[in-house]
Amino acid sequence: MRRWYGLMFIAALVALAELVCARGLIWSAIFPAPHATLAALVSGLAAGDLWAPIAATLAHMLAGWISACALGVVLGALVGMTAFGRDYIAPTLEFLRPLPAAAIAPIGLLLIGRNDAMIVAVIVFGAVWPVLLASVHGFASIEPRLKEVSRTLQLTPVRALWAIWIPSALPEIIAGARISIALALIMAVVAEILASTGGLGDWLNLAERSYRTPELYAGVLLVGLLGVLTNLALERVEAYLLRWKPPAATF
Amino acid sequence: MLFENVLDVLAPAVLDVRHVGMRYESREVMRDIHFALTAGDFVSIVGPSGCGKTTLLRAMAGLTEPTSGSVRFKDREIREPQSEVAIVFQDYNRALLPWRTVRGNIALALEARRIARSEHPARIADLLRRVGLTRHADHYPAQLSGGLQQRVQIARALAQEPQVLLMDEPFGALDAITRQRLQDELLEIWSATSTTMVFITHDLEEAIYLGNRIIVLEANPGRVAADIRVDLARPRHQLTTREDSRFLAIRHQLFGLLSAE
Ligand SMILES: Nc1ncnc2c1ncn2[C@@H]1O[C@H](COP(=O)(O)OP(=O)(O)O)[C@@H](O)[C@H]1O
Ligand SMILES: [Mg+2]
Repeated sequence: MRRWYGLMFIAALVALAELVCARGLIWSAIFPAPHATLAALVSGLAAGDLWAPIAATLAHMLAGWISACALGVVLGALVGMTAFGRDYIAPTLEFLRPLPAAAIAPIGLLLIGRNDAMIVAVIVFGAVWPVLLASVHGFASIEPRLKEVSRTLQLTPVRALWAIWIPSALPEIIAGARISIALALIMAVVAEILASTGGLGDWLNLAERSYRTPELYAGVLLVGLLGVLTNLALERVEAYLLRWKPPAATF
Repeated sequence: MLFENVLDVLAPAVLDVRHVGMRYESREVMRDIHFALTAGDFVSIVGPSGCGKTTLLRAMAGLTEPTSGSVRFKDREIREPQSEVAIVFQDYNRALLPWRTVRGNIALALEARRIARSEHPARIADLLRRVGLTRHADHYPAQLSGGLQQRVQIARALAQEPQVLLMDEPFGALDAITRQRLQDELLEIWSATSTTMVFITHDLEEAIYLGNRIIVLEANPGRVAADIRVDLARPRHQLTTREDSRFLAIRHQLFGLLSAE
């Protein structure tokens, strides 16, 4: 029962918005009534106009996120496990981290051009940090006793990595990866607006410029929906991968 | 010297602790510890806490290098862990892989030895039976009690098929009943294999009950205070062995040695 309270609250907000719009309290060219947005969404989906942008954004986001995770875990392992990584790589990362990814995007445009590669590169730059920092911490905070177990069993480095280091860092990696996927969606939309080569970001931009307000809000709704769905999917993956964890104390 | 050599021929030393000393900066933790383990022996090591028992065991396992002296396994000096020497840590809850089931934890030692996957099920089943974990094969460590977790660690060490098994207060954190059961199981495992056992404990009765030989350490710095033979009949029995007059005599002797400080 409780889990429905949140949905009921959203329904109440939508009803309120509908009421406010019906009364003409807000100019509909800025904020369309929810039913108009819904109508735009349904007709966009029915006519097929919206599927291509959805697919493009999903593809950009996933390509960027997966690359960010791969890069983040590899760099995180190097920095978290090795003196070399700590001494040589970490300072560069510390320098790059405060740079807002949105500021990097124009450089991407310049270097790579208006295309999918640039969009993915911008996403990687924006989304890599949470998973990278989580990996550094995950690999660095391995239980010292397990390192000794690895030594006494004389595991080869590769086997130790798969059997001990990666599973040990996995809870933190997954937590970081979940924050990264949210950032990947944000960066995908930002980069698509800049590149104007398709995707929901491009759709939003065009709708805004031609004052097709319901379509603009329909696009925003879809971006939000993508965020919710990917988060739910990752929650499932996390529960499966970390099924060995004792259930956390609940309140 | 000649006498030592004669003994070597009769019962060759597997692990040789040679004048081992250990310092941490200015603090001397062990001084000139010297003894040899004969193959198949069951040696208990007792001593007050902080006398260097764990440090000594870690040196014997090749996990820490002593600052003076050396530890030799058969003919070679130990500087790194050897596959023939297994260790059971005191803190079982940290020494197991929480993301692997009981079966998976035991399998780790088989993987390390590159034993074919097809052989794993039979070997694991045998080990599970020997430590009484058959019913828990597919449980994760977090689902097990301390006694069961320590059994997993023992099974993993046995999966190494070591010649020497080093144990650091393995039953120290367990309740009395669990402890006695594990003592008897350990003795059964020992009599079924020819593994040389080194068992650290601060429990004097446990040391006598299990061992053929007790090495008593004294503290500051850690040194060998006495090396005692235990000639109690085997198999041992929780009630009768502990009531044996020789058991009580050794208990008196140990008590005297350890309360002398
Ligand atoms: N890494 C270390 N650095 C400094 N002192 C240590 C270290 N390890 C152990 N010690 C000291 O060595 C002494 C012996 O420790 P330990 O071998 O754990 O004793 P026991 O196992 O007999 O209780 C203790 O006083 C401890 O504080
Ligand atoms: Mg100790």
